[in-house]
Amino acid sequence: MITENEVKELLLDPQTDWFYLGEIDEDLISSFVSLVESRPDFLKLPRPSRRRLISAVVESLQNIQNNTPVITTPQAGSVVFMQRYQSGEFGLLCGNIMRTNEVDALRQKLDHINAADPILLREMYMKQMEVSLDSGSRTNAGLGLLEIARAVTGPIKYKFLPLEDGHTFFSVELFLSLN
Amino acid sequence: MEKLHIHHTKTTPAIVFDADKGEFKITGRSIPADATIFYSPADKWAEKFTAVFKGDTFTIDIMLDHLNTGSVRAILTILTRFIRMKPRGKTVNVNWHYEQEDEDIRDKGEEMSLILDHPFTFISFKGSEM
Repeated sequence: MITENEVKELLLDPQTDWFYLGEIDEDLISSFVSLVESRPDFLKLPRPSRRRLISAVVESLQNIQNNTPVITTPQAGSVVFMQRYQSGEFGLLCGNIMRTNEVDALRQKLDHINAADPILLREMYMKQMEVSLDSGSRTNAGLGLLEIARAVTGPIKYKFLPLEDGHTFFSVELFLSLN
Repeated sequence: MEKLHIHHTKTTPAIVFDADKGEFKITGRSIPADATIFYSPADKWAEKFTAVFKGDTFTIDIMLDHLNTGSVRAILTILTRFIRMKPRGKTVNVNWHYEQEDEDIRDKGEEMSLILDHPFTFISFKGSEM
């Protein structure tokens, strides 16, 4: 079982404002968004920065909500989400437990996204959206990760922490320029 | 045809589809966890409406400050229904409103326009107008 302390050791640093460990649902996402928007420094940000920040928060949390498998061990719906400010950037750290046999596919997807420049990311997003529309799919099918990559500054930094019983804790670290 | 009026919430937009008044609007914030479910009533309404619409011109106004990927897909699905009226000689206008400084939202509209292969009209407004 992953413990709160292990998560802290993995992700927490002194600049982290807060973190959450538990299940994510729509009400919680709405509360997180309100929490970010109620910060006095948020309203001072340029409009495009505010939009990108909210977009990254929403897509990250909904990615967790949609991709955390229903499991009873090591711990049901274990997720963590944090934010922090540092030298002109807003940082998000978040993660969820996933099945280890799905790690390689996700790693390949992330490496592919991280290798793309903004123009290619836009093309990938539009192509994936067309595929999703044509197939009538109800899932985001990687669109969320592409949207996150387009919102943040630099690559999506990620880690996989093997756990017991065929599960892995997956975490991402994102930075957004506030300028 | 009975009008559709969905009130906005913290995570979902207001939707007004009123055939009698010729008013079709999606406004607010669209970040629902399951956009397919949220937009389902609007999609069904659009399906029925497009089968019986007798007019020459249809115009929809979309003014959103945030929309997640699921919402983009759901709105594209609904717009596709309206745009399919074109071969029947209908003119379909999509007005995409965006805050003056928010080029990202304008870009989102441009992407959706390209995916649909249908021109949007882009209308900027000042922040206080939304």
